[in-house]
Amino acid sequence: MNNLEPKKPLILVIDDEVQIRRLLRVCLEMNAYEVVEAASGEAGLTEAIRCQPDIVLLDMGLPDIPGLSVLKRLREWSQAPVLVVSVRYREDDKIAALDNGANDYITKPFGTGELLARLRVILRSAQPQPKTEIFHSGPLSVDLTTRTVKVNDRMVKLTATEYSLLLMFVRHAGKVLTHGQLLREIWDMKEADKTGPLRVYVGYLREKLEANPAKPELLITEPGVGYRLVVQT
Amino acid sequence: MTARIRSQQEAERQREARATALYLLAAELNSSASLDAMVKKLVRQMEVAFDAGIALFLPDPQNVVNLHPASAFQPEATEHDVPIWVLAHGRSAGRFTDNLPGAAALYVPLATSSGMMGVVGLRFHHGAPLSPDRRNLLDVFCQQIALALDRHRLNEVSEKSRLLAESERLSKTLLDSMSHEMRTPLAAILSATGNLAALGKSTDSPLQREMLGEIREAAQRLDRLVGNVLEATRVESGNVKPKINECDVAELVNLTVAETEKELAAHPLELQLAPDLPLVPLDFVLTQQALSNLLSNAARHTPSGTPVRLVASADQDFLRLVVSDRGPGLAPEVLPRIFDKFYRAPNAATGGTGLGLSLVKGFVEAQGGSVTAENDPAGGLTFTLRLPLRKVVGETAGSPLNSKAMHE
Repeated sequence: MNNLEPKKPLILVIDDEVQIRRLLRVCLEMNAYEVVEAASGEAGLTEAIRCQPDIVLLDMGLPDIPGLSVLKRLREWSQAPVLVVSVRYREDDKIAALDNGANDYITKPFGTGELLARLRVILRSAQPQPKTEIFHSGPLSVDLTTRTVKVNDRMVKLTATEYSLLLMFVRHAGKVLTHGQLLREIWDMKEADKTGPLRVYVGYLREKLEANPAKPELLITEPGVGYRLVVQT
Repeated sequence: MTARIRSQQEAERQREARATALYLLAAELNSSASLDAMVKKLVRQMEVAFDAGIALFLPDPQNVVNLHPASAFQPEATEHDVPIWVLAHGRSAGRFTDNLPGAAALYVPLATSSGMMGVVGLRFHHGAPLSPDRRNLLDVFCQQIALALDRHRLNEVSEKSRLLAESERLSKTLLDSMSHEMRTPLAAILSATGNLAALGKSTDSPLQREMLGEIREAAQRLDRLVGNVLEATRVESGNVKPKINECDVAELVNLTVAETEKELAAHPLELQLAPDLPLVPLDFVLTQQALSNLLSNAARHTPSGTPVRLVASADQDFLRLVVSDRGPGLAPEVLPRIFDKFYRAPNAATGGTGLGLSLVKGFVEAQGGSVTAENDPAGGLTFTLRLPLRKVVGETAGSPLNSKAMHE
């Protein structure tokens, strides 16, 4: 191996299914990642200490300890980004994982393209970002110093609440924010099921920011979980 | 004097014979395990006790009267319908009775309080009429046999329901673990074929690409089926716990439409959202899945090019999501069954799992809603989802709707 080659990102795959681990390894190595495998939650935690991964790919349905416990224990000492793998209809698992420091989730069965896209977003946001005053995503630009929002270079007027909601999305661009996180932060509400105001304001933001509010491309609904501001280049 | 003693002795002998016959009968009836073994033995017992050929007629579940194979004779052609008449009327007929006394055999009903168990026929080997004593013995015999048959029937029923419950439990466990065990290899196949397709885009021959596509499509279909089976098991075991929170109907409808775009590609979609729809308390994911199943269903069962219409509206009490198509509709007798698990309408297009609509029903009912289907007078099929606009607390005791999520 050439020493000048940039270091490949190291991914720790914690999954009890050997076949899935093998396939993930092939697919990830093909795409310039390095892979370490762990077949159980305990083994995963040990490996995480040993190999200091750049990203942890964590299956929520492990046989020995629940995926959520693995995440919590990992978070006691590590800030390594965690991408959680869960199945459909386990939205509560996903919410709990996100609320406990997971960076994102992906729903089984997933395509290779989807997985690689998630990993790229996580890696990018894990890089120390140059301090930017202006956030860009597709047609959207937000100037954080002057608090001006533009779509296709046209100025958009937002109310104070709309702006603080957008600002929270911008600060966590690419990441899913749960209903609970948004309601606590913007409305200081503790009941995660009182999603009414959030739905209404996301609707307002879409009206003002999206080319077609019925088919949003910036503010994406994550059914049963929350919302995500997509980072378009 | 001698004559008196002799007649006393005779009476004594008869009483003894009667007691012995009854004892033997009772012993046989209680010990015989199978119905056939029991019938065989009691035919023999009665032959001895009454000096007659015995035939037994038992009704089957369709109430057709059948001659049991252990019987010693078949009714004459002219008497063929007599057992049927006896069974229907619960009265004796044939020889030594007022009904058809000219018949060769006597037919006696086997009755219990729960109904007619069958008919016994006796063709006596001698012509003398039955003495009151013997007539009485015959009645006792018939009662005992009828009770034994009834007991046998009840045992069979309870055994059947026990077996049914057992097999249902077994198949559920099997389904459960099979679904999980099948999903992993399927995910592996899907991921492997996906990687191969990405790798070989430029190098593979058209045939290779086509074959890869076939594998992928089959695996996807199987995965969909397994997923649906998993969901159906979850609905059935009451494990669908809806998470009700206020939702924007336009957001829900738009997202569902966007996600089913590919399946609906061959059908123009007419979308009608009533303006100012209120925020509705519902489970976003379950409702989205229900709506998505209805849209795919419409797309799959109607000729391509025909429109699919989706209308969302609300009144004071309900949100209504109506999906209608311009397909052939369904025969009226089929309509009530389409929400049944694994039911597929005759001539239905292949590719479905027979579970989609039953899941729709499960998903909306778990939230206190309902779904109905009807033929459109103008042609086509219309499905209506109704979801209550207010949280109904305590109205549906015992349903998952009453779970914590509702009260939080």
